[in-house]
Amino acid sequence: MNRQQITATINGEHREFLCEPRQSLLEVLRDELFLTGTKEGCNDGNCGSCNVILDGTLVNSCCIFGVEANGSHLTTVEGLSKGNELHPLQQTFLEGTGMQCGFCTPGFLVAASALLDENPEPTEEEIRHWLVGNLCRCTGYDKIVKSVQDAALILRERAL
Amino acid sequence: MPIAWIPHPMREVTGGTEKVTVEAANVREAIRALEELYPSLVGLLIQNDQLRKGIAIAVDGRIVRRGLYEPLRSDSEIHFIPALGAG
Amino acid sequence: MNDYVIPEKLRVVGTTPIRPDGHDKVTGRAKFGDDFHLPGMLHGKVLRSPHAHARIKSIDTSHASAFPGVHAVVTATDFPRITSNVIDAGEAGQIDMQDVADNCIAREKVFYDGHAVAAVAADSAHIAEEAAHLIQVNYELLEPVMDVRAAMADDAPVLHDDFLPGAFLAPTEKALPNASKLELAMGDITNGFDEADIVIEREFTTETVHQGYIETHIVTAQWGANGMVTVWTTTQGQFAIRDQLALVLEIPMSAITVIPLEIGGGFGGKDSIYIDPLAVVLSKQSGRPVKMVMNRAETLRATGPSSGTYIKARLGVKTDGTLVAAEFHGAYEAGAYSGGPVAPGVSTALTRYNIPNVKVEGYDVLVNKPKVKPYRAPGATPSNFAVETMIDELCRELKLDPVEFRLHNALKTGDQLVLGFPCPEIGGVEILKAVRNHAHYQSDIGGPNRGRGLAYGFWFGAGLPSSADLMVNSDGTVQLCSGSPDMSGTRITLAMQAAEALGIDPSDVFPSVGDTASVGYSFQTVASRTTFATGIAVYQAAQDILAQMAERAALIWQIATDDILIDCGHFLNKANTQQCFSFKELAGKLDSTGGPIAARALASPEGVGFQITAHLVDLAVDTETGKVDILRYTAFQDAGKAVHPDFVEGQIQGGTVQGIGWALNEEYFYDGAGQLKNTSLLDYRMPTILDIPDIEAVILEIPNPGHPYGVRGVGEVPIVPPAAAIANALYDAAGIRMDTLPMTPAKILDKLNSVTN
Repeated sequence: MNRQQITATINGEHREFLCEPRQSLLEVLRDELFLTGTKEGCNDGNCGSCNVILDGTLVNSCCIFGVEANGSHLTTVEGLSKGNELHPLQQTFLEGTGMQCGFCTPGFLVAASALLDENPEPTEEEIRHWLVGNLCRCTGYDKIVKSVQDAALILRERAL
Repeated sequence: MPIAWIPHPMREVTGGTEKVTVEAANVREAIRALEELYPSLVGLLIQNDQLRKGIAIAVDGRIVRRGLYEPLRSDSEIHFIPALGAG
Repeated sequence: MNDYVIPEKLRVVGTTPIRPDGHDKVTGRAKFGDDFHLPGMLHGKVLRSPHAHARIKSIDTSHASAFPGVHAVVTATDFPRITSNVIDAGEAGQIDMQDVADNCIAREKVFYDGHAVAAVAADSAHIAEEAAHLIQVNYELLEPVMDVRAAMADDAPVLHDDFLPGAFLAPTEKALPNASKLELAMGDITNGFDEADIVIEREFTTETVHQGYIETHIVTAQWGANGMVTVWTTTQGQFAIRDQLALVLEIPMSAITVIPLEIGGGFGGKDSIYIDPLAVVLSKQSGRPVKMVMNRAETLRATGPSSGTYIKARLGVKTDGTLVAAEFHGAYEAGAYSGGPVAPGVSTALTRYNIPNVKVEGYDVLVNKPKVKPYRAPGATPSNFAVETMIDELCRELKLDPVEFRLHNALKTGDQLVLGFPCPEIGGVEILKAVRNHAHYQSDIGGPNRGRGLAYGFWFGAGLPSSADLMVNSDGTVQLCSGSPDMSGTRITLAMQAAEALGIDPSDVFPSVGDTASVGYSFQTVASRTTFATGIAVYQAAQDILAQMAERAALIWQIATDDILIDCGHFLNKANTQQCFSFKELAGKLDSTGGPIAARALASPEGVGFQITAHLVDLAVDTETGKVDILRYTAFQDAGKAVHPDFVEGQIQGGTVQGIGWALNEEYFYDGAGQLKNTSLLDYRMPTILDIPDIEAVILEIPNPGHPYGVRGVGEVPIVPPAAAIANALYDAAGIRMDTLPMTPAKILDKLNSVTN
């Protein structure tokens, strides 16, 4: 299979890589670029572990071909923190025990960051609706919701 | 002397007796003593010189890791129970 | 025996520090099973049987071997026939290793849709998959049997002519061609039922469900030039993987190093080998490291789900609410190979009530589904569903409050268990009282088609061996290494126990999880045992450290070690308490007084604290669609001592939601040919964040004297009562008594319609 050269801005950095047309964006991120923060849980769009933000839209990277990312701007979980400074969501997930095994956490963080970018003051129902595409089997979701709420508060306070 | 409780399904072999006082310093000796009293018990608790598959041993209310080698006190009570799994 | 005197005040245990591994997890740096890469690594894929029951007549791998990019192909002929069959698997009794080997790759027969038949290693996973499709397998189809009753019927197809039955104390071997039998009893149920004023008998069926961990199974294996094997994997037990690999491949245990990566969920399903031996042999044959990933469909088709069941139970009660007799029969799927959860399933069915006359009977039944694996408290959820809904029925018939009824019959410390010995310290009564006093129980449900249900649940838990290493550095920081994989925060709960014992700050303890070459043996992270048993190993190692440090202080002050007083991280001269070193100060003097200090403890504690819980749920049911909305959920549990209360809450909430999924949606659908139809997470429907309300966890602490800080395991029992609590709430809401799981909208509608007709 002929590999194509793809160029994209990933977490603010210009990146170039080769990929086969049949490789998903998820596969490319993990196996070509070694950005292994984004996870595979189901490979068919049902668990959200592979969430990334592609040109401002939250997507399941398992359902996108790598070649489709050509010329795009991508944010993965690795791009949420600024150097050593954690994104408020990362901080609240840590402090609020919003994770147990931590596997679904990157997907939730990316998804929640997309939510808070769009809606800085979500209600609990809005949070739950937005995150319905992200499955967690460990936490029962309770502390995830609270972590997102706490992060929203921090971001709003910073904006003031 | 230690007391060995006979598990229910094996009581048909012991004529309904539910517990037996045995002279034994450890669980293996206790089982040997039971087997001497009730020869039909041979092979039901120990097989190939090991505790039979699916059986665990509790001494004085605790499931004991040393199994057949668990030492007994004069007032110890032994229960044979199914091995319980978990996850 | 070894009862500990638990300190009144604890300094670290009970607080909520941030877990040290959390930073890597929120930044995506943490390495889970598939995040590991080696240069030159190949990718392996498995060819799986599409048939539920068949004999393998022939396998032709030649086209696969010739495919460009393929480096190795294996079938069962590449694996030895096992010589030492049965190994001790701790609490689970013994395992037949030939069964384990055959489950990894089918020898003469395939026993379930998805059973591995061959494996290919190639330059990429895509190439390996293409090549695997070229392998030609000739099957002779056999009739599959897909549920326990069919498997126990007279004319049932027989899976194994010769299987090692569970024995389970029965005088005879196999009870039936596809099943072994377990019996336990207490008192005399014939007399017991004679004494009863009311007797009810009910039947129940529950479907097969999967643990549903979000990370699937992944292994990377490297066969070294000198025959030493290294395996990197996501597992609940690196030592179990090592030992099973050694026995299945007939290699010395010490020649295999298993390095546990972070684990993305297990719940009991990642306690043994699947693709591991395949990856090892592919690596041996190709001379390259090989990574194998089971995708979601493979994981659902071919890894241990939890048993579907058929249960029949009879309860006898007097009009004053005293339970006098109970009889429980449960048939639990074992899957393709024997050794399912029948023993804990029947042993926990009634254990939480003090009933004088009890008989329980269980069958471990072979069916053409993957070999079952534990799912939190294995076997207990279906049993609890049956018994707690019957209890609810009795409460209504006798017009007794569900909490009062249970209090009246509650198992207390010292009451006889059906296992025969007395129940150790347990907080069942305290939990029921906490339910009664809680605002949820006292609140008004409000609204039509709304109901409230209560269920009460029990689980054992285990001790088993764990090892912990502590090393003191000259800067006063302490390294803690244990062999217990961290599924959900045990690194921090173990570090907290070390800090408590040593009298230092938890931020000065740096925990890690060791591989099989670097740390002493530890049994898997299962059975709610890690904070308990590995915690005891940590505690004992800490005592050793303190003793060694006391010796150093004595040396410096030229006094006897007995004259050293150790007080909360400080070492003092009893005769002159002005002479005092803090832990850090003394650590700074280790180099000059003999060198660094380390200690190891291997503990196999027996003072296990059992788990007990009560769940209270309010729900609304839509009588037109059958959909259930959970409105309010409160879970009450005795943690003994919550080392890190947020994590204990997390265990309760997580297990509860799994139980809710089990109750309302999750089931395996097999067609007539025994093929699994719902192999994706769309159709194997687990709870989403929108399906669940906030879950309030009420943690009680009735200390377990078998642990220095009173800890009892907490991780498993939360999955036990949700199904029954929801079923009882459904009756309260709509007058329907459900007797099957899951209680899907379709089934609820059917019941509603049959009630109105």
